Amino acid sequence: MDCTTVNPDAGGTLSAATCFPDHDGIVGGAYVVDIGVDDNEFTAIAPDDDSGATMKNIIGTQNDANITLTLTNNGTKPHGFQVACVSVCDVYSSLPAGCPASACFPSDSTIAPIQPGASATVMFITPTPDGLIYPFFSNGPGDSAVSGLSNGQWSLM
Amino acid sequence: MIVALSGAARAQLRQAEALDPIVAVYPAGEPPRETQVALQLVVDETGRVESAVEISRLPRDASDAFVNAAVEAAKTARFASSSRDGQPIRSRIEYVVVFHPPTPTSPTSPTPPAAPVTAQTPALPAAGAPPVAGSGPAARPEEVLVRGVGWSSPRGLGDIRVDRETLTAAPHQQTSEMLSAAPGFFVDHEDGEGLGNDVYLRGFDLDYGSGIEMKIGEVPINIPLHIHGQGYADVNFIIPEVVRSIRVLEGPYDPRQGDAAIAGSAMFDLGVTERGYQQRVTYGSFNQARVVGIAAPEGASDETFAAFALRETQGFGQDRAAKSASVNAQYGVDLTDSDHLRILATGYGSSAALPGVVRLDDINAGRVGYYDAYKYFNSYFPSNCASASCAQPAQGVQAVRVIVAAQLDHTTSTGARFEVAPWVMWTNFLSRQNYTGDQDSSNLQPQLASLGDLWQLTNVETAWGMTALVHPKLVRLGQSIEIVVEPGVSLRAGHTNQSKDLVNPADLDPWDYRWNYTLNTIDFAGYVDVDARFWEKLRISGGVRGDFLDVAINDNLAGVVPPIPSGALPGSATNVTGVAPGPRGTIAYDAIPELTPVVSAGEGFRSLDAASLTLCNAPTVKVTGVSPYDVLPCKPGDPYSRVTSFEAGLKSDIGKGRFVTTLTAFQANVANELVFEVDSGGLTTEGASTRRGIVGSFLARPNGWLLASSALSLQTAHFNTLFVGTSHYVPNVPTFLLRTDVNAHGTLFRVHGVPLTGRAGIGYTLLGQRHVNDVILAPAKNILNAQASLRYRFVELGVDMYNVFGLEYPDDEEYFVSNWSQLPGQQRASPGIHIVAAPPRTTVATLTLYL
Repeated sequence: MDCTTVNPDAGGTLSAATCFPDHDGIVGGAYVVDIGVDDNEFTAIAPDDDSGATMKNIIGTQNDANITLTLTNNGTKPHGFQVACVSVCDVYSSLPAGCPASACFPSDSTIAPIQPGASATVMFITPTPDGLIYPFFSNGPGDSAVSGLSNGQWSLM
Repeated sequence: MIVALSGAARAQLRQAEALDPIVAVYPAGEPPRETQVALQLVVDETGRVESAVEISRLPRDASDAFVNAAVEAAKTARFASSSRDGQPIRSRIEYVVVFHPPTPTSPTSPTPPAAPVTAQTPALPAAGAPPVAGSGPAARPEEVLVRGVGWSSPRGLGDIRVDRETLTAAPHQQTSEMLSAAPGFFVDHEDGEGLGNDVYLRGFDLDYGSGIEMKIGEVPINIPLHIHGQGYADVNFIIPEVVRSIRVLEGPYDPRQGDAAIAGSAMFDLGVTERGYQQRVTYGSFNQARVVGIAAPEGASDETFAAFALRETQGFGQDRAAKSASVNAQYGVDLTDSDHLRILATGYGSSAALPGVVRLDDINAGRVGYYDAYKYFNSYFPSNCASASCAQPAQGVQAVRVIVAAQLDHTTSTGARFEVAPWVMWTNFLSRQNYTGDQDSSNLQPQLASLGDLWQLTNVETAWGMTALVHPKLVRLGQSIEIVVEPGVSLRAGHTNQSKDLVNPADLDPWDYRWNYTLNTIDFAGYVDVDARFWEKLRISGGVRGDFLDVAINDNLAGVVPPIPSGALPGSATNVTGVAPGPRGTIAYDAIPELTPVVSAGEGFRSLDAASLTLCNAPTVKVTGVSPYDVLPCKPGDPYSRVTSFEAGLKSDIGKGRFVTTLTAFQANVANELVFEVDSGGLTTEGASTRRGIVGSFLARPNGWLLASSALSLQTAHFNTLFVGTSHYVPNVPTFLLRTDVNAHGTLFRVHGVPLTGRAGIGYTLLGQRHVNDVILAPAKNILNAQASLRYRFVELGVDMYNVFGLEYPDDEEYFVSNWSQLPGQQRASPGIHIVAAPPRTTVATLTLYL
């Protein structure tokens, strides 16, 4: 059926692998992602020697991949990490009945706000629908008003 | 005795036949006794006798008058030329002219009657060859000896030998492009060097030639576990001027086809028919220059030549400079009357810059030109260079290939042919390509900021192998059954070091390791092919093939790249062994010469890549959350992916190759699809797919100066899904493909009695819409290439033009997420269409000297 006709809030009854054929042929793998956060943006822990770049608001991994994510708060206020859900209709125009029209990272990918100087590590598996950008953001108090803390992109390929 | 020589294996040959009885005059004044003169004739493609020389005479003391009379008669004779797979060919044959003493003449007859020149009936008849009628009581059986050539029925409707006339009907700059002359094929014109071309065939978009088995002689060109895609094949090391013919087999219907024959096979036959020395100089658009030299000494066979080619171009647009050098040499010699040896050596090296992709939304917004390249994450700064003015393209490719091979054909006293062909090959490949901009993170150094998604892939392989076969004499069972049973074996062993790293474009230093494998591969294959003909109408051919595959993989990054199991040390080994079965068969019924229905079925295979084999054969499958067998690219223990193909259709041949038409319906079920994967700059396996379609072709040679070839294919390609009505398209497969080549050539007029010959040809391609993904359709491509040339004596001047319409169209088109930008630093990512531009209008002029 047409993906846009599926209620975005409807759950799926079929397995994700059945609903969402892989786009690039690669699934799985293991990734370790270390990311810092300060009061302005997500950052790399070690800036690039050449360019001095520190911002790290894009993460690219495969779908169905094992992720070990460590967040280090280098700011002065509490900050966290959370990935939002997205519609799959842009890349899956038709879906078998019983398939959801949106995709979300698992709940264990969320890091509740941590205190300045603290680190937190979570392990999770990325969702199956790929070819999509899942937005991530800091879920600390007031962080939604800071553009560098609310414009992260997790690209699943 | 008639001797037909050819280096092309397993073609269907017909020897030249005299069209009318040939009359030689019995020399006046000679004693009345029967005399025989054996001549060697060279008969050209039109049936004209180019030369006739004496081989022997009997009795030995017969005078030269008999020889002169025999030569005179033979030179005026007209023949139906020899043919290979229905295509006329130039051939060397032996004829015996028998002179009978004149009968008593009547008083009114001023001259003695002539004895006919007679051909002898074959002692070793080539199957399929029509009987040659003798003339008069002196007619003797014709004796045929076919050396270096086996005979077999065509394997399917797409089993075609494309001769040089057809290959050169339209302009083709690189050897891979010549495949476009075969029905159903399309290989786009490329300006660069070093990367295998994409081949379109029967619903397959074969990136970098993977999925089509290619051979030069008996040497396999495909590299089974290449890091750029299993079965990777780049044939541009072959100098196009020395390609004599290409035999294509569409589909896996011949038991001789090996690894990578998913969509079919292409076998390149080298030879230079115009003997002498050629010097060719080409110059044209984008400052491209090419120099070719060919030495093909007179008196040696067509197989013997030495050639070199040098090419350099600045390339169109930005970052497309390329250079290459190639040497091809081959020596064919008759060691004895029953042994023929052919030695081949090739060397090739190339280096090219690559522009990478550009986003279509950036082009449409005017942020980047169609033929431009992005500046950021795409520039290499050599030592002592710190500014953009001295920066070089970071993306590029370098490739080297060296081949040394031999082929010995021995014809036994019983008429059987034994062939053995050993070879050695060394390849060295490096590519650096960035598709997505700057998104990746380092697995080894996860704290790093991204340094750009520039993938460096290396693949160095030393391989050796051999093929051997026995093609016995045809066996007749009664009056109605003829059978040839051919067993054969092949061996390919390879040792490979390959890696895939992320490197910093600024200094090309690695910043993350992803793959690093040492591979040892073995492919032992054996086959039995049966070719049977019943009542001269029904042909059943085919057999079975088995490939024993052994792949030993040392993962040099196991224990280095996370996750690292507790206590694990670096390195791991995986060994996968399996047998790929290959039943294949074809049934054809020659209802009438002009109409032959044909049905074929077969299974082919392609080796799987090291990463998939490591993943699938790991002690613990590491995919969680889903059933591993829903998403894994292979099954444990199977080091290959299988294709099952079927076809049925009709072939019509009118006028012995003058008008050939085919119509074929086909289906191919691929167990594991091979698709382009931007995340790592290579190909990777995906799920099962099905292709269906029809292809029709038409070849016309209505006269000696015109050739027209056209093919139209309509096809669909879907991944197999569990639900009816839920489509998931295999990307980049055109919905239809139309190819037409037309060429006219001949003498325009004579200058001082010497002909001025001209040649003009066009090649037109209409490539239908292609699914970039399930939602987006890429527009159709419309491509016209043209050529014209004039030749007077030893000088030829020609002009080739590619993309005559001057259209902007993509060579490749993909939809994925990237963050390319004209701004520095890591920018926001978004999905979009990315293209690699095909060359704009390109004109080159060529001066050739035939010395």
